[in-house]
Amino acid sequence: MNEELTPEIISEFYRTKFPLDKFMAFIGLSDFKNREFGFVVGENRFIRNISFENTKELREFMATKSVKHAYVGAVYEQSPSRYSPIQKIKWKFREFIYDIDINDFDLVRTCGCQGYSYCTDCWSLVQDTVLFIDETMRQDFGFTDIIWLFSGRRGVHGWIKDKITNNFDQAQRVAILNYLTMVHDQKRTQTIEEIPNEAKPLRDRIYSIIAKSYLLNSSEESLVEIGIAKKKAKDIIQRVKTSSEFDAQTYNLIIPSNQTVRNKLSHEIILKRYPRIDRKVTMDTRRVSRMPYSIHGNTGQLAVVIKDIKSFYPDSAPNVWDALK
Amino acid sequence: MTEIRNNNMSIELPDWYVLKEPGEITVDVKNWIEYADTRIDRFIKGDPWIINRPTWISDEDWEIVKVQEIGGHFLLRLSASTNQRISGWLVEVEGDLFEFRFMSSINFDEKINVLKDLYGEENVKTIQELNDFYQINLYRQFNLSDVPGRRVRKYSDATRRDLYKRIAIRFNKIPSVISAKKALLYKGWAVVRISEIRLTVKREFEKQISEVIKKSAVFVDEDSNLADTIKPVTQKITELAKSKRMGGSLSDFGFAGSKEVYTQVDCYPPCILDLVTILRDKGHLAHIENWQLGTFLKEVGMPIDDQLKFWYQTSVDNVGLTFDEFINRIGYQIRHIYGQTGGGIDYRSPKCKTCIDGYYCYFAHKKLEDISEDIKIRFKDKKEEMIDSSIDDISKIIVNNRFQSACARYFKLHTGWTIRSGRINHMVQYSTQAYKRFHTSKDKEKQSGEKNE
Ligand code: SF4
Ligand SMILES: [Zn+2]
Repeated sequence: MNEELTPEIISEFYRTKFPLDKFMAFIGLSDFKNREFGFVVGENRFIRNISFENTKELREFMATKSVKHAYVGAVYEQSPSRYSPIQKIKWKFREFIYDIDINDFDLVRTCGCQGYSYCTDCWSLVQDTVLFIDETMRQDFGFTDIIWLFSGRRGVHGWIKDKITNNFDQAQRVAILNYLTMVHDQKRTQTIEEIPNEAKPLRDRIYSIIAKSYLLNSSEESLVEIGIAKKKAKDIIQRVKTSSEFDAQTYNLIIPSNQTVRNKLSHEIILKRYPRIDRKVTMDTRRVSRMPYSIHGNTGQLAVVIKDIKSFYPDSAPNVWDALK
Repeated sequence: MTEIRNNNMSIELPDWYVLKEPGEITVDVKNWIEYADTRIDRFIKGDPWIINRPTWISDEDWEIVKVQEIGGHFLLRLSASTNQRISGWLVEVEGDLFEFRFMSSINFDEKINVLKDLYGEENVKTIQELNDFYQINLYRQFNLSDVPGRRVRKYSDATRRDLYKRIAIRFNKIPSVISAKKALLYKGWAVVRISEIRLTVKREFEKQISEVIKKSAVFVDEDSNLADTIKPVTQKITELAKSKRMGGSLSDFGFAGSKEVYTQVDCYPPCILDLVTILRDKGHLAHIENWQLGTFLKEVGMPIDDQLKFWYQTSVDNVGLTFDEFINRIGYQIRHIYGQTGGGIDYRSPKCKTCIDGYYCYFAHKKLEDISEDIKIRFKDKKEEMIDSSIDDISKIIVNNRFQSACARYFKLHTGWTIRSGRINHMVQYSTQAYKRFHTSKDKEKQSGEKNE
């Protein structure tokens, strides 16, 4: 962190630099009055059930209170407030959101990083996850309006903004999540689901994006351990490094046809590198999530839009001090 | 003479499909009742009759068959609409019949038309239509074949081939299939084998038919002649529903209602807790829900006088009835439950399966959002992780339509105990098990024993 994140700095940022127009373009102009906001203010007090008449009020609130963290939630039929809290008013819609955090991979990070620390090795897990989900959303589900945001610390949020997703109920959201999930109970037993037969695009995507990274990060010895002959293992790694286009077909071609070996290998691939998602965030249509372009109160970094995840690293993200320079 | 009015159909549906608009049909009342009767008899016998037009039949004769089919069902629908308890029965038997016919039909177009009607024309496409639209060849691109992955003995060869064919449905219409990864997804279209959607389709049909039944009550209300016509039919179904399908006997589940369970509200299953809350808030319940709550309370040991008091206090005191007035009017149904009026039958509370089909099951009928909110509030003293993982599990199970298993998972969060069979079968089972867990002397001993250590 550069310097201390003082209330004055926060206030100045929200007064002069916070891109209100961009934020509004992000969440859409309609129903602003009925949108729930949440903030961390003062000595870490979390407040919810807040709404604003207009964007001026929103800016004013964030600046005068020097909010440490800012969150945006769902839209309701009425304006949420202390007197009509969200439990008591009718839910109207919510974007479809993914939350991906590096520490969701703690059980399988082999580089030595834990918690909030990261290196380029383990950050690639987050990068692959984003690529995998992005492609699944576009190809399989036909969504087109997808934005990835930096969470401000060690994760990213995916917002699927296609209109149709707004009205999805929890059952529909859970169904999409279940479709994506291959590692169950990911913080404890890490049970791996069998690779699906019918969901072919999903399966092919595992054999391209995920398998490629896995093999690139593998040593000959680890492949031998799975049951692949030494010469073949060397060959595989060579092929992965040199092939420009690695897809499911390539995978099927270079991996030995022995079924036991194949099963073992795909199990390892999924366990070690398959996307891990915080399900609660996606399921819960009343949850608030970090406000795009706002400051992360612990790091001073900004929740900016990620243009290209392949070249994005948390440390390179802009922070509030840069913004105020 | 009763006339069933017609709307023009946009797509051609099979003649066995009872949600189909009937077209212009004229029947006289005597025949009409006969058709309904025949239909009931077939339901009783479990005879899954198929309507396929035989080649030798004349147009007029075929019309009669159709009128019997659609008209007979229509009368049953009207009759059931006046009594929520029996509409559950009708939904169940019509659902089974529908499933059988849908699966055994050998006309693929017929299936597609039914699906288009159920899910909306814009949400269903043939693979050919999808190929044309996206300018691709799905079969080639994904190396698909229509050969079944495993053997199915139940259906004829022609049927079987059909079942393994694929169609495309918008993914959000069939969440449980998406959830189980049983579909190939392409741009929001779930390309799926017919055999994989049978249960989902049945559920959708049941949902729609129970809505239609609810709506038909209006016809009966508006037309007193009609109300008279349906009376004998209603009576017949009521008798039937009483004797056969409804009110599962507790001995089926290997336990009997314990006498004091009713004193412990924290042991009530979530469906009952909800009914009590609604009763408190709104002051009344639907007739059918009265029945569910009433039979439940009786079965967990609440004496009739206590129950009369309970209803009086929770539901009606704000209406200004005195207790005596109450007993004379609303108390009738409760005395009925205890066999003190009417036919003197000692009624049993419905099994979970019956609740799911026609009464109120928390997991089948409440919105997932509200269930997770409820859980957070009710179990706020438990560890957050535990709550989150339970909500997660429960929602996964619910989207796969396994409501009784969801209830067992809820039970586990509630009590820490695992139900061995993996599902709750009866509301009373839920309560007696929870009672055992929290209130039997054995358990108390164990607790005090722990203190002494
Ligand atoms: S499964 Fe049975 S006990 Fe559980 S909520 Fe549904 S009806 Fe009630
Ligand atoms: Zn690392």
